[in-house]
Amino acid sequence: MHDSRISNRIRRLRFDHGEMTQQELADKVGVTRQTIIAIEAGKYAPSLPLAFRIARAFHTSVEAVFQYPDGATTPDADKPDS
Amino acid sequence: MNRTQKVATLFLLSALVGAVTSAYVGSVIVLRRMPPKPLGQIAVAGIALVALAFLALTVFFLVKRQSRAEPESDERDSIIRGKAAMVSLCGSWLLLAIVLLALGLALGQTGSVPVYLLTVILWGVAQITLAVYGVTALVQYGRGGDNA
Repeated sequence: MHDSRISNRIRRLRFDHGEMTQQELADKVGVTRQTIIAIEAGKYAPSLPLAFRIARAFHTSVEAVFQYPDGATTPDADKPDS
Repeated sequence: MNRTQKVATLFLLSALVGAVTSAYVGSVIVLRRMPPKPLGQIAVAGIALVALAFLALTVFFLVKRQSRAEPESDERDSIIRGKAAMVSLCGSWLLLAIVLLALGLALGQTGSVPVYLLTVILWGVAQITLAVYGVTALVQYGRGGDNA
């Protein structure tokens, strides 16, 4: 699960959904606020079930919340050749 | 601060209190007498007060929650707990092996040690294990769980 290249739009989506707080989102998806903070900051890549729960909390798809770089199929795929 | 962080902090504090207590008891054993009266009384009373305060703090700390809906732990907490347990257990086994090996090398095949020394060694390793668990868990939270 170590992949800091996964970016997300959680902060933006929280703002768009009535300025939802991190605690409210955490309560909705059943995790602690610290985990939401870590996900938002890109320091923690959530499991697939948690990613789906977060997406459903915003009534959207997983890909609308989390983005993975195009063409990156393996962990080293988008690293420059040495 | 969630439950895992609280437990890690408590482990770290326990190790510190254990180290202070051990230092006090050790000094009494080494000196083979109680410290001078006023100091001895103050130290014993101080340790008792610290232990009581620690107990009260523990109960308050574990019961208090940020939100009613907040779970006690989630997937990230369990990953952090697993890593901290692994590091502390590996560290404790390694430390125990090194200490026993060093004793064996220092004393040789026919050497002997007091019986209480094994208890002291195990107590020390247990304290270090607690401290390592606490530090490892807190460091991972500080770094965002190392994206585990």
